[in-house]
Amino acid sequence: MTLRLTLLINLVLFWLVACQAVSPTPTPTPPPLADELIFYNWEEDLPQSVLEAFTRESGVKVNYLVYESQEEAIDNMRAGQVYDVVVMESRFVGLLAREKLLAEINYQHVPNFKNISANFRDLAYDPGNKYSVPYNWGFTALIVRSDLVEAPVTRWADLWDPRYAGRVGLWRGQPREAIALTLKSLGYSASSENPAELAAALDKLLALKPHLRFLEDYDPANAGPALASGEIVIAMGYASDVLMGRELNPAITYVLPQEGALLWGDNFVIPANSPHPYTAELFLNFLQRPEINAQVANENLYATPNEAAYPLINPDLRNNPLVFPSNEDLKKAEIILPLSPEGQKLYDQIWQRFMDAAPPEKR
Amino acid sequence: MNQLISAAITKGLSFKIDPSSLRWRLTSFLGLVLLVTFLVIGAGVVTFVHNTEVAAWRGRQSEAARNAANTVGAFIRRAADTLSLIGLLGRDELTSKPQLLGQVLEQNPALQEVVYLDAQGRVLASGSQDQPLLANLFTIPQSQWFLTAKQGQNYYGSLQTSADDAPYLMLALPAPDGAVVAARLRMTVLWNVVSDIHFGESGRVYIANREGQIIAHTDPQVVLARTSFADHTYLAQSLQNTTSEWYGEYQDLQGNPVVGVTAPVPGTDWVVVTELPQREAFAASRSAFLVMGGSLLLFGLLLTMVGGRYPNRTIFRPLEELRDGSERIGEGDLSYRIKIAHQDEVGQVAKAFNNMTARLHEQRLALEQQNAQLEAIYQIGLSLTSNLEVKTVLDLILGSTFKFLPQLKDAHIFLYQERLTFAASLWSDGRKDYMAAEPRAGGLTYTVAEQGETIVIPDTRTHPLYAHTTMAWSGALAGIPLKIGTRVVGVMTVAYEHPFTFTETELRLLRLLGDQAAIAIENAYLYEQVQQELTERKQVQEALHQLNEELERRVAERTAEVADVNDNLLAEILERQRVEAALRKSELKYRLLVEQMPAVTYIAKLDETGSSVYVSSQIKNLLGYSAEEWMADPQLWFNLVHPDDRDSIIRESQAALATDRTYRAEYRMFNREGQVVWVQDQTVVLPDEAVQSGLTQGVLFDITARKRAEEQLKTSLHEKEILLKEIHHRVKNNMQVISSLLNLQSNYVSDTQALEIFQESQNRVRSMALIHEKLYRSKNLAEIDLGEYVNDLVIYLFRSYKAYGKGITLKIQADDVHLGIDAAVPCGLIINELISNALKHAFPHNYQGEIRVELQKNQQQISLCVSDDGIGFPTDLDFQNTNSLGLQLVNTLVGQLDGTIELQNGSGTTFKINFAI
Repeated sequence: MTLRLTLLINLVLFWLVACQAVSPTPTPTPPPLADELIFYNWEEDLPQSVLEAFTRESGVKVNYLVYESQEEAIDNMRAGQVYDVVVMESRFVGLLAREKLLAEINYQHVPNFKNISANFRDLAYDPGNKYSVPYNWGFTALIVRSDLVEAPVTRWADLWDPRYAGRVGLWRGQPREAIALTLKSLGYSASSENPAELAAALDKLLALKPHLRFLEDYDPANAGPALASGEIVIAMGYASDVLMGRELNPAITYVLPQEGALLWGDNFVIPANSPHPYTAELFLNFLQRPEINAQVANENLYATPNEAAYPLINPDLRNNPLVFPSNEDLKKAEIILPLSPEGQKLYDQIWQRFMDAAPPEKR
Repeated sequence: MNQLISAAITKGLSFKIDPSSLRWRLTSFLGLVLLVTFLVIGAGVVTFVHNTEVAAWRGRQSEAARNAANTVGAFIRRAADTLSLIGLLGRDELTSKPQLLGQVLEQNPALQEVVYLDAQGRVLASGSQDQPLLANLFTIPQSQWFLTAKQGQNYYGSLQTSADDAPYLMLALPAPDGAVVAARLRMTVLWNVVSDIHFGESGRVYIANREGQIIAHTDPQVVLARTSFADHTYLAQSLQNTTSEWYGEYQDLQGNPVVGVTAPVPGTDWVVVTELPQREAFAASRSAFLVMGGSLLLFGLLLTMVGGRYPNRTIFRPLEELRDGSERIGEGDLSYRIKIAHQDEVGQVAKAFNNMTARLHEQRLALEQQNAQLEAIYQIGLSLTSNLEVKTVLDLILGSTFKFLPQLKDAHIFLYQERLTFAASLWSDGRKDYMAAEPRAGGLTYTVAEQGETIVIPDTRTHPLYAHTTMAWSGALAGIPLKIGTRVVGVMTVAYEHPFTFTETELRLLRLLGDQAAIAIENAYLYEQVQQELTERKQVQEALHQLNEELERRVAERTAEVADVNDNLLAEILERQRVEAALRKSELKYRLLVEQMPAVTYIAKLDETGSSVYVSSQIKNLLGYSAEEWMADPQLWFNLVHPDDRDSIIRESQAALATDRTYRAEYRMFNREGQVVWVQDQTVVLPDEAVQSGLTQGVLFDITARKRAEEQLKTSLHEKEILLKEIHHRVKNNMQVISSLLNLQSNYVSDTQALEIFQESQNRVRSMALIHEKLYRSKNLAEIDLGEYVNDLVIYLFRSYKAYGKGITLKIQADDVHLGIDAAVPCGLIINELISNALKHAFPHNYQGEIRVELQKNQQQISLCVSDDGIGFPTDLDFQNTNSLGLQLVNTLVGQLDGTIELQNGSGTTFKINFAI
């Protein structure tokens, strides 16, 4: 009897030793893919064909929700709306990260990040690209109906030319850029937080209000039709607006203002409340494949930060200085920087005052 | 050894485990003590070895980590020093000597590209060993490395990988005047540094930044895959520790158990991690553990095998024997005795046990004897109740007596009723019913019988009862009185051939047997008495029985008579029930027939009131009054008949019923809602031989729907007649207008031939208009009286051709012929043409004569004859083939009528036309 007990104890001891010797080492299995990703972006921005390609390859459906301004998107994220991937302008990334609304990106799942140009890595708005993967970039500049203006347009200040009253276009969805270009027209920094400079900018904006038409009222995605019809002759805008607008009317031209154009960048971020960060990361990695990235650029006509995609981009687009400007032009441009919280408050007030001002007169 | 173990296992497992047993508890306790001892010893040894080993690897790895950190630190410091020097050279020096940076790079192969920037991020000088990258950036003012260095801090960037998988590291340092010097550091150099560090057999080293991202690893793929251990709960702790070393045992990123030491890289915020697989680190403790375990196992086995036998032999086996003995005794084997091997405590217990068993055995024997006696008495008792023969019972008692006292010489039983009578005896040699001697007065038997007490004589020679006898034998005797209550009914005696002392048990037994014998004797007496009484009672019963039988016979005879009468009655009742059922069925059939009919059936009195005797339930559907209401009010029918119809119905019905005995009428009644209901009433006078004379039977049908339809038809027809009349009127008017127009126009015509044509056309139209006029004036609007028409037509034509003045006379002879419009129009036109012809051509130059029109009807054949006694039809002219429009028209119209035409040219002209209608 004693024998049996002792035997059992010894067997247990043996087993423990054996376990110690050959403990299994499981390699981590990837989490399961989600059925659907919610993608939140500007309207008609990321081509549907690309989303379908992703669905074909991964089986993950992409539900494309649209916003009309970055502020709207941020409000919804703050309100706890669930998205998996959101396109966010650079200057908001830091703000959202500080509010803990963004998830850290696991770059083990996004190896194609290596295709991103050094120009867009480790920038101040998101050190180490902890929360964002660059999507596209470009200038905010002037779009002009060259045949309808009475003198060559060269400066931001030409927006205030009384000859164009009632035919000046501005995006209501881009308050920061509107204020920045006003600051630039006054000769100040695009990201100035100097109250005196901002007060001057507000006065100038209010002076512009009666001359204005909002571009969203024509087409929420593209200023082209408004200029093509001649209802707008001068507007703030983007290279894509010009490229699309030219198909309607070749007299639409792009002007980099002498005061310096505004440089912007859009990024993909994954909200902290996304239920499928792994699938979202696979999606981002997919979008950074050279051929996919080139397909995006060829369709939405924006410059991409993905260097590996450059050889695959339509040469017309690649060599178009409106989209991929020369280094000289680029160096003159000013990047819109993130604001301090106090600065943001001032900007918000300015925009509120501007929006509350008497609406443009109807012609 | 293995065989030994398996044998031990087999043996061990073959035991039955009973956790409450002494053996189990003892074994458990010993086993536990053994185990604790083993564990304490084992743990002590293993812990000692382990501690020694931990101290050893920690020392070894700490040194390796420190060395690695120093090496890496030195590498970085060298690069940083170079950049600081470049910064110190200053803006002017660098911009004036652009080749300077190139030379620096050549000296320091780890630097791939160096840039010198002003405070705004503008590149003032640059040098590169490959494609310039930093010099061409347009986002420098936004770059984290630039901004960090601009604020006066050194920047050691995270690892960057270019599209062609070339890794580099950003390094940026502040320089005087707000300038910044930045460089791309060739990663491969750092990686080589890391892979050159060796310790242990499979120890490895890697470097990570504060975010946990691995920037250098012995395996470059780990770095290129951007591996991070920020999520590794254990390793991430080391990131918190920026100044001192940290060590721990954990699973590495691949899940392998390792021991690791981390050390911060001086001058950077990086950490060096050294990892050694636990297998290697703890090789010695593992073997110590195995050896200890093995030897303890062996020792345990030996101890068990050797030490297990002794308690088995001294305690458990004797205990088991004790248990087996108890079980055998329990099973009834009281002769069993336990072997006593030792005089120890267990031996003493066994001895006491054996003593106990011996005593139990004795008691058991005594008990068995008593049981046998009781059993015998029980048997006697049983036979007493089942056996009434006294002799049999007494023999049984004597037999039992011998069974218990086998040494007896003889046993006798005597009956006692004032004197003793021999009843039974049994002898030891088997003789039965042999009496030893007649009981003597004053002897034992009589004494017992008279005194009613048991007398025991242990030895006849010394007993006073035998003092004066000359009995030769000496023996023992006992006399037992057989008593019922205090009454002695007999005596039992038993005798021994030698002196014998009766024990109390034996005497008690004899007395018990005696009691049984007494009961048997008493029973026998009672039985005899009962038998006697029974015999008497049986005789009385026999007499009673005979009397009963006689009575029963008589009752049976009477009963049979009554049954016959009953059967007849029953048959009669059944027949009556059957007839009634048939009647009911028949009545039901007729009632259903009457009440399912879609009409009201009634029987009423044949007087003025016509009050109902019966009315079927359909009256409710017809007029809304129930049959009961109907019959309760004799005036109801009369009141409900429409006042306009009342008198005529009463009058006509009275008359009709009186003569034809049947009457049929349609009239109006009001239903309960006051609406008019049309009914058809059919009545017949019931024959006098029916139930009651002076009754009528009738049926009322609802014909409201039919009447409505009739009225609608009438209305509709009337409307159509008016319409038709109107049409004919209008057609006639229109034709008259045409005729008038032709007349008016002819006033403008001067040519006589043309004028003639006009007149002819006018006449033709007129002749047709006349038909329509006749039609709308006719009774049925469909047919006209042809004779009347011909009359009017011919008069008109005569007037038109002004024939009267010329002496031409007209004679019309027409049967009553009526024609429809289809036939009348062609017929009219034919007459028009023929008469016109006659008027125009038959009497030239004031010729006088007669024109005759005859119309005859012979069944369906109409014969029209137009004749004149004029100059006659020109013989050279074929009337069926002429240019005359009139005659062409006549031929065509005859064809239309499917008729025939013939010309008789004698005195004048006669056209005869036959056609069918």
